[in-house]
Amino acid sequence: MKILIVDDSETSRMITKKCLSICGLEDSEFFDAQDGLEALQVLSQTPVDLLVTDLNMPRMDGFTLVKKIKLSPKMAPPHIIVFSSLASEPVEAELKNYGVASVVHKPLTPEKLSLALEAIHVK
Amino acid sequence: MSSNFSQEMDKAMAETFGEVCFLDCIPSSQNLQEGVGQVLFIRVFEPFSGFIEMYLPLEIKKLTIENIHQETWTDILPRKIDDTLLEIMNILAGKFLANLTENSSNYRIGLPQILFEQQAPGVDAKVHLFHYDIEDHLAGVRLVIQGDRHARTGG
Amino acid sequence: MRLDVGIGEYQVSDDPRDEIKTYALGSCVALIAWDSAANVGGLIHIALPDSTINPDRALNQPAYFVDTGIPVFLNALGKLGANRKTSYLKLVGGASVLDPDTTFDIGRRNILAVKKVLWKLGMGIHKEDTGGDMSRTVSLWIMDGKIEITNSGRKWFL
Repeated sequence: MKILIVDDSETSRMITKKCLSICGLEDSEFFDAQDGLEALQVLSQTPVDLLVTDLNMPRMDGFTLVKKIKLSPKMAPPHIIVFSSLASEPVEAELKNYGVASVVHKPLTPEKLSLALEAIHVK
Repeated sequence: MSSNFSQEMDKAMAETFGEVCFLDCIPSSQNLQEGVGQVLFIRVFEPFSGFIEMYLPLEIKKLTIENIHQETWTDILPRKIDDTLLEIMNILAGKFLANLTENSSNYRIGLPQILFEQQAPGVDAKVHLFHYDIEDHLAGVRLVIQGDRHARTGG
Repeated sequence: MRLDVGIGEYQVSDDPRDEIKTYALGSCVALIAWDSAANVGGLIHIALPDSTINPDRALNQPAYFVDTGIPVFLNALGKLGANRKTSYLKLVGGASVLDPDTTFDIGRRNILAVKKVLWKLGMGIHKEDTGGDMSRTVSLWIMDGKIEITNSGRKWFL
């Protein structure tokens, strides 16, 4: 499985990768991006199975990333999980309109991620 | 929207330090002394205009970094330490605003920053101070609500 | 067969006829492991987070403390063939019981200590039923990994 983790915080990317491993995805191939712009560059070259992205990032935020992916079906991963400190109910509803499967409040924990992955039948 | 800033901040601090750093954080009646050095700062744009500052003494920073990264403090790059502390500030702000708005309306924050002194609250600002005991070490949070977009009530 | 676990004890099993049970978790926590591929499971009933307060006890009864108990427990599971990759960990207990001699909540400290130790080992909790102020009794069935929690006549599954 190929997984792209998008967050401007290196710590947050580390925690996400560790939680994904704890949830049984440790054999996946992981890709990193620091913001939406970098994520689009990765996606244009490498199709991934799962995109896990933050929202609050410089240069290009997670909302814009998700909207741009929706407009470019060829690079769209089959599953998108958003994890953010900005995940209110209105935000969650809007994101789901753009194809986001699951929205998780930061901080990411193995339990929260386990629930999100179950919901999208990954693992 | 909740009007109990103290309760919501207490909950946000306990959840942030518990879930991220595995540290027990409870409200304290003791005040953190001034001059703790770095200030973790984040601006708030919605549901009010203002900012949040957090003051963590060195002992809490060490425990936090070592619990998250499983490396000793002296082996970790300063860049990584700063990144971790900024992410904690980001998470705290998000949790506090989610609790305050009962997760039912949008809230907007800036990107977290590390500053070297407290920011001036501004004219007509409301300032709330909160003090915490994180496993026998004192920490502080300052919530500043600015201008004419104060929340209706506060506590 | 029912295998009862007391405070500071653990049990592991690969016998599908076994039920592992522990009673009246107040501030104590029960960490439950289940490997669905190997059909191996276990439960440890832990009382306190940190063994440095009583190293002698930790030597004789490592399962009494989070930091000494979890490694021993995981080791026992491994010997029966449990694999970390196919195992699920669940946590029960840690109710709020204020110790009159301290100002902290032992139940919460136990929960945090378990998560910290597991994080250090590259592991984590997949589901939990913790906190609050109620006592919990919990059973693990090795046949299918089902976890049943009871309190005051009520019953639910984790």
